[in-house]
Amino acid sequence: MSTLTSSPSPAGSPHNPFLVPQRNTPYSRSPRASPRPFSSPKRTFNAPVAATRFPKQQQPAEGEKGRQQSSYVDAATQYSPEGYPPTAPRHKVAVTRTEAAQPPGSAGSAKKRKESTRSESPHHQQMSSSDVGAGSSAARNPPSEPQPRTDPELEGAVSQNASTTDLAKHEAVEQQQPEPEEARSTHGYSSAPKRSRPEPGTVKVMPLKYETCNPKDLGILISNMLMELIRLNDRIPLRDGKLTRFHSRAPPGISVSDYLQRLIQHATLSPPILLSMVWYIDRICALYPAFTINSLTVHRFLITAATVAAKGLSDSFWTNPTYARIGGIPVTELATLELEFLQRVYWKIVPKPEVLEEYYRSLVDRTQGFELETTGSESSSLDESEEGTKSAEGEEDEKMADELT
Amino acid sequence: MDKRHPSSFQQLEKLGEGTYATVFKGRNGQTGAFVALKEIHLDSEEGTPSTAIREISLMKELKHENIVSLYDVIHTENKLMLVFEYMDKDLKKYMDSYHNPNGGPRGALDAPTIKSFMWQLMKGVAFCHDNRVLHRDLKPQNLLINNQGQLKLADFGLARAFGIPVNTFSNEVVTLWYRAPDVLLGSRTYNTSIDIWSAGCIMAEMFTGRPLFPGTTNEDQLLKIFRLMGTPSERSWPGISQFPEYKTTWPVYATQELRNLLPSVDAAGLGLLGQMLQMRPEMRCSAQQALQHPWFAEFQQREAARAGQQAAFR
Repeated sequence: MSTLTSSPSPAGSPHNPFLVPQRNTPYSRSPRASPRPFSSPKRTFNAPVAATRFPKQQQPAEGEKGRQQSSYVDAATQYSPEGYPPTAPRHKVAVTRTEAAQPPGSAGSAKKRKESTRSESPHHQQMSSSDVGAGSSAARNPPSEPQPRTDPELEGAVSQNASTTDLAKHEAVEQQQPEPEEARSTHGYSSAPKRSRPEPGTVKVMPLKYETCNPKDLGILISNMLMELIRLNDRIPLRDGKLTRFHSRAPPGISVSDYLQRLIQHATLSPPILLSMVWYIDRICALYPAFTINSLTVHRFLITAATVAAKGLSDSFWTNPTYARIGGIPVTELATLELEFLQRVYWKIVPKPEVLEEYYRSLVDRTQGFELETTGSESSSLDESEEGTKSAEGEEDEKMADELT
Repeated sequence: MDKRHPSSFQQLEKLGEGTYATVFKGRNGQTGAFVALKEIHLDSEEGTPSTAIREISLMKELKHENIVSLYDVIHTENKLMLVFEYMDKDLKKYMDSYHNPNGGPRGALDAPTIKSFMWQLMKGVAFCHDNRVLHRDLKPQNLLINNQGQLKLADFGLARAFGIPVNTFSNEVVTLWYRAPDVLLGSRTYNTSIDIWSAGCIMAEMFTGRPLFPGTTNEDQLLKIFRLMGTPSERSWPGISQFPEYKTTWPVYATQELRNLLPSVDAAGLGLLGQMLQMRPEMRCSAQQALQHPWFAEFQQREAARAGQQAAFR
């Protein structure tokens, strides 16, 4: 079988903001590649933290979003199937190759301030600054009794505090508690009443069926939730000094929100894929005690979860080199993380449809400024948050991910 | 996590070379039991092949007596080894080596064997569908047979979960000869009915010893189907002109009787086959409906008796 692998060639303009993955063959079905000789990947298995090849990014100033004008260029690789079942017609493969150059992470970061609802930072110190909207609603409204959840899917050893820890509970007690527990679940908000309704017209109405929602809106809901998890978990000192392969040496310069929106746009993550990724958080946290979502792990978790979900659940997905480039990690590392993730969750990566619906409702319920449409007929179109999304979208194109450090 | 070493399995002869893996016969060093070892090479560029991700993740969910068991997944430096239940041969090889005691065409199986295999096939398919999994590559090579006459579904590398609304269905699925007309016409909204079509093709093949629709191309495959089933039209299949591969230039064939092509099949069997080989996907019976068909009466009775016994013990 002939091989049509595209691989990046290191040339080209380092500053091309317009390189977006092309998807000319929308149905890049999984290749049934003939076995290839194994080329030894330079794995850094024993180095729990990926080596930083480049100078560390300057951290964003307090309350500001780190918006690195990066010299890292996202390149697009046309999906190039290497083999097909003998009976399937071969795809025509457009070998569009754009270029990835990876010069040192630029320190010249152009920082912009975003509207507060999207303002996030991986540092909880910044999260406590007054203007941060994301994830602050719960703080203003101490929730009622949390609802412990257990994941019926769980198998194997589930750590004591793993599945039922309630974020909201942490919110309520965080002032007094010197040593907060880890937040290991994406749930637990639903019992918390939202802050009083903002003025009419500022509420983003989300469709009942999550598959019809705008992925970018869902991305806002998810990054809000992630920021709360991170804010809680960043307070906790590293457990027994245990690092995981998902740990960065330092919080990457790109915010969680920007990073997730970047993945949504360039890796074309659909709502079911995004919700599956949220479900994966609960799964891996329950099954892998050393892992939590914090500002050091969240980026690698997201790109890994996106890759696994797309490859495992969808007929349409990109190649690993593309996901690696979008995510800003070396492709060999992505291969390692992907397999690590699959093994940690015992390869059970197919969520039950009802579970995803529940996660969606829960995300909408707990996020201020968002609500589910009531009848299914109401307009969910223009309002404030959508405009916010649009403007963010414009900026997104210009932004490049840094190498994750 | 499981860190069992592959050396706990003795690797014996090669059983087959798949499209993304090599399968060996193996022996469990401790128990002496045979297993099938599917070796998947890991490439740092591709990462874990999506076929492997699907096959492992789906087979972990599908535990059934008519679906081959995945015992273990062992990861070594540069490969994944899937440890499967050992099966003696696949249905293709079984048919090729079969000598019908009553004569009949070469490769054709005897009627009781066919009925037993079809029952087991539909049991396995129904279990997949009930668990919201499409197999998408049913064919004799992917149905494994052991010496006890058990049939089990294997090779879930093309399978996918269909419960979650990931609306991107590839239409490059199923080996051409077993591919349903709606998929051949370019449908991307197919469902469980594509597995039923494949099962119907397999049933006919067991009776004749030859593939029912051995097409060479997508177009040729469609025409071979039309020659037997009749060329569809808007009248016989409302909406057919909306399919991407619809052509106004198809030769018009009249519908043939299945009976003429398959004289050895009894009336009930032809009735079931007719329900599976419906051109329009929504007209095909479901796997559960197939299992209810009178052709399977003896199996239904046996199953009911067994269920009754179990109930009596409770």
